[in-house]
Amino acid sequence: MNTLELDERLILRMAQGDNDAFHDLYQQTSAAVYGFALSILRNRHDAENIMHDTYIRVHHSSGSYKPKGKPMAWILTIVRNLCYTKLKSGDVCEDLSQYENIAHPDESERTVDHMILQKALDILEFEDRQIVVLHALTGMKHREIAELLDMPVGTVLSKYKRSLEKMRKELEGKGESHER
Amino acid sequence: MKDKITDAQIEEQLKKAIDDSTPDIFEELMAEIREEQAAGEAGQIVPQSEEAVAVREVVPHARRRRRRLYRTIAGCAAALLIFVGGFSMFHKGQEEVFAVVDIDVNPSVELSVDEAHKIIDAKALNDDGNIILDEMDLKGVDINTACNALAGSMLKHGYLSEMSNSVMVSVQSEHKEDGLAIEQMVSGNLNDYLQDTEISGAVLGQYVDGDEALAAFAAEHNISAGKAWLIKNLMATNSKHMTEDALLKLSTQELILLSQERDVDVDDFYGDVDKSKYISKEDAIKAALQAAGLNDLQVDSGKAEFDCDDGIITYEVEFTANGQEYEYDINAQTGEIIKSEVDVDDGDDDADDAEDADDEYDDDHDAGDYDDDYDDGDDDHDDHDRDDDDHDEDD
Repeated sequence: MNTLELDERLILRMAQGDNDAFHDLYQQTSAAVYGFALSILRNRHDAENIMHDTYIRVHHSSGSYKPKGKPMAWILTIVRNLCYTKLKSGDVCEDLSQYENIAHPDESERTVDHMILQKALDILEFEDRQIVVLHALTGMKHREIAELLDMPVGTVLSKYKRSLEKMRKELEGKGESHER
Repeated sequence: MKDKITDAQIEEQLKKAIDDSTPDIFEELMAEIREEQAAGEAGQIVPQSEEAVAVREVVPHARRRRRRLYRTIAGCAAALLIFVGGFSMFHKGQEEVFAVVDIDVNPSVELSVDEAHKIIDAKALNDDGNIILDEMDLKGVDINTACNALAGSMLKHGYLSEMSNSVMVSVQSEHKEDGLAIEQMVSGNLNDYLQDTEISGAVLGQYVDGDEALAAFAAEHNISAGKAWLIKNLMATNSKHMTEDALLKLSTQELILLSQERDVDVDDFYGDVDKSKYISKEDAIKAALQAAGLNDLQVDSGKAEFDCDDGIITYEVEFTANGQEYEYDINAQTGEIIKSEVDVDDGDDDADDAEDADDEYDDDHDAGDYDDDYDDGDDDHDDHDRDDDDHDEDD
């Protein structure tokens, strides 16, 4: 798993009005931003809205960004805050059926991957989903994830392990629903 | 038997699935950013300044609102007609004032909008409002964009801060339902905006009926209709201190604080008014007990409520002990006792004779040195560190 090493200078260049830098930053982070929002909200439509708001925010705030060597954490904190604001406002679609639009059943080579995403969203708990998606998408260390999610590292580690085990069982057909 | 699926494989598949399903919205983002930059320049807002940022900052909210609107409309076929109708009206009667939106912090600004919620005119209602409006031309800008730009500028100028975090949004319109909807939209949007800043704001939203007496009162005192509404409603509560004169001296935040404390029925309220500059109710009661030379065991019942006295926020502390009714007005910031009354508790709420007792309460109680401050309230009050007056120095 490659750690997503985002070059902090992209944000500094964005502050100078460099749209190419914004494009590079977008390319490197969009899946993580979208995936993280999706893991919190479990809804494609809301996740896309959060993604949009996040990049607008990142673009506007680039001028006040203080380089601390953690540009990815900065962006993901924005995602998290926006998601939580949205959850608090109650203006979220909890309808999982919307999510099914993500899968493209006509494209058979994708179905296995999409099934795994669907399962992750379906069977994992609220915090577990976030941990697994962050780990898979950004390559962040458990310690960094713990910091971002404001959780003890030990909790993140055990949740991560338990979640992966749960996923594995599910994929190997030994999930709870198949056990009998 | 199949090989065990590894963690890395699971993560890889998950990553691929998310990579594949991530929508590409970059062009959309750039289009919006360019559009806002152009609007910022047209509005004579210096690009890259915080105002410009504030104006552009709005985009996410505006978009959120649009999407919400779509969702609502989807549920109601008839609404489509109204929506289309709205657009044609926009082209016909662009200059017609559809609603007036007042934004009060300490700067007060009045925004006239057309039916499409675009600003026709922006007017400062006080000097602070002039400072804020001086830097931007909001004509033609969407109301939410304008409000966020104003809030952004107020943050920058220090009118809005952690300790001064309250905004009043009041809307007047001949069309009550539309006015209410605009009020809800603007106050909700402004709340969203403030929640995302370093201050956690408080937003009071109110639809104000076009009442001539209220309009005259607002005009006479050069305040917004919203502030006038708040003052009138506070006067209708049962505090004897909340007179027109006393309330006119208060800031918007202080009026909002009192309206919350006195349960004034408002249309919308978000967040919490910052109270960190005030002592707690418990401390106010303690101060009053100390002044009365009593301890809490001797007190039958007591309460403290925010009140005001000649331009400052006070606690009105009331309790009964030893068959006597005590009432203290305490400066809510300093804990200083401003006024005290003691009366025999005859179970009669009529306060006729309470005032006579006003001056009698004195040396009987070991009340510390509060006597020195008694009756010279006015001189002291000017010294209290009230944020509202200090802003001119910023920038």
